[in-house]
Amino acid sequence: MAYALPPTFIDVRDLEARGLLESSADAMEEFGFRGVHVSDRPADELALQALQQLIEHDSVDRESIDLLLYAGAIPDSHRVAAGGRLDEFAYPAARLQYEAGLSRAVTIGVSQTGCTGLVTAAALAADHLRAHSEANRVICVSADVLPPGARREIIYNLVSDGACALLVERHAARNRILALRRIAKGYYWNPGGCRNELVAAYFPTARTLVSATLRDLGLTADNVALVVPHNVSLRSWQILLPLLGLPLDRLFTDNIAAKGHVIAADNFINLKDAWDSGRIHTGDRLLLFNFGFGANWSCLALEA
Amino acid sequence: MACSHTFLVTGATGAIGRRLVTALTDRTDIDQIYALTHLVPLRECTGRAVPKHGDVSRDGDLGLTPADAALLKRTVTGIVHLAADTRFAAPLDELRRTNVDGITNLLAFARQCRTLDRILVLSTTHVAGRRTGVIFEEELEHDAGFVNAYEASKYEGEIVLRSKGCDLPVAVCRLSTVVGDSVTGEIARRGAIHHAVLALYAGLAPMVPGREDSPVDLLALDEATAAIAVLATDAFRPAATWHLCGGQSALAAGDLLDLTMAVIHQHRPSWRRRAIERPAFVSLETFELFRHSVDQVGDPAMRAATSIVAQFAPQLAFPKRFDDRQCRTALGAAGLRRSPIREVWTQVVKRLVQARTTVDTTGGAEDVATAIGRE
Repeated sequence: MAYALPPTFIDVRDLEARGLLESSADAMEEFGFRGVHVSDRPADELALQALQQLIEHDSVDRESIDLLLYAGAIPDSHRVAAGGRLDEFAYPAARLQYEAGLSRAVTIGVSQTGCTGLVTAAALAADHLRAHSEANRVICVSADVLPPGARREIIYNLVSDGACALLVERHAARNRILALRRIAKGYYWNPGGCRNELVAAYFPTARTLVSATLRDLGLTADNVALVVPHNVSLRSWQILLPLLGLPLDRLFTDNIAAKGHVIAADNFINLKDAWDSGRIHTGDRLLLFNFGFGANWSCLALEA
Repeated sequence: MACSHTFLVTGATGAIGRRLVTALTDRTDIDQIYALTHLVPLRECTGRAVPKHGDVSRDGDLGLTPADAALLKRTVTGIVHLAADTRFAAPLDELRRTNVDGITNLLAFARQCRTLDRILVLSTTHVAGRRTGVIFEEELEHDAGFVNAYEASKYEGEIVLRSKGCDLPVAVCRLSTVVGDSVTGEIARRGAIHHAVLALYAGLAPMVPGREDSPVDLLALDEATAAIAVLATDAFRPAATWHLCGGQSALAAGDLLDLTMAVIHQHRPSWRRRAIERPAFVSLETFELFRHSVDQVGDPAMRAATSIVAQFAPQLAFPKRFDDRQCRTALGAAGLRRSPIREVWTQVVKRLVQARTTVDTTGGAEDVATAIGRE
């Protein structure tokens, strides 16, 4: 895994002063946020940066990649601002494949799954490997950059720009996928029109999903070594975890304040940082829970 | 009763009061009923039921005119005191005016009634507040605290009754949650539990504080009224305290929730498409954190919906069962019918959701929440 966050960090007070919050800075701080990363570069460039870091850091043989999946939560993330008349068809996936030299890889974009985009891509990658015995390696990349001047608070969460890349391969040495479950509730397709209902649905649906995921594996909450979150507010996790029967000390919280909610990239940014900080040990059972617009709830269980 | 009586019914325009006045009017052993009204007129009075304007919180004459006060003091033989401020979310000081000062005024008035031989005071089983376990009818005083100011004010009212009313022929009838008519499901006035169902229906009730197995004691409105009429007349016994409630037939909160969702599914098939999850039972601490968060950043509709649940559901975190043996014994000879509470609740929920047709056509949870807030 590798990720790229823009160096510009705006704290909550500054966000409030610029009119980029809906709630007060005090409330956002109480919810566990310190600020957000804001990019002046487009999503595809952050994606390329994360992808190149992954390839170089993990010494990935570029010719070994069978499939490149590119995920973005917002429509702008699926366009490269090439400046030509056919910009609508200038896709980041193709650009990444070319720039990173993944010449054998086929490319697919993953959209309309909101913040669950990268988990969805990982799930599709696993499905691809199961379906194609000759395929061995898939790279998944997600990147999102909100438009300049966009509000940074989305339903009580502070949103950062950023990108993350991860390698999904057959017989991986670590982070083995144990189970993936998703729930989609199309009723909430219009988040602006049913915002309260969506907030209300979030918690019990999360509980249903996580319980089902653990039940599939014959596990209980006690077997979960660490919950690797998406960086929605710490407050929301304080409410959700008791519903899941999990104590707060089994949540990796290091990044919520400092990195904010990096849209689809959170879980895997946190997974990398949790490994790097020694919070994860080989054999640990990990839960990566996520929610995304398009009314998608996802839960990925890994064995570290 | 061996002889004819004249009753004063306070709170005569409330959900129970209206029906009770009618029930007492139907009895041949009652000559006259004075129906004390305050903010709302009583239109359905018949010849033997006479409305009198007053205010129990005002003074020892219950806010009656001097002439009316004199008339009632001279003629009344029984009082059924229903007047109460039932706003769960109101400040305690406001609630005390009716629920505590009103009791003091009632006792002062009663002492001046020359032919009075009975006072039945309506209270609530939730004077037990945050107590848990089996609550017996003769019990009152405790230091467990209360879920809302309404409970506290009714508790204080009973304390006043016990301390200052022992020279009078007073009995107390503690009601549990009255939900609607046993046959039609008709709801005389929506309370917190009805609003909570609407919040669930609107998809705005993600969690409930309490335990799945906490008993929820409910009672049908018509059956409660019939029982009160008997307790005020044939079965009256001074110094008695009765729990008029479901008792052993109370449903577990989890069962009640499942039944509620099943009835909504049955009578609003389109609701199923919304895939609304069963609310989670959570600790009081978790619920309070959620509520606090909604108060901090939520919009008015969400705050209204959460507030509704917060007004009564925390009782579920203090599981208790009300012993009602003395009440059942007192009512035994009357042969009153008690419907299975599952059937009553089914009718009530059906009635509630069938009244929400406008919500379905506009698709707006906000409408429900706004309506809840308004009501």
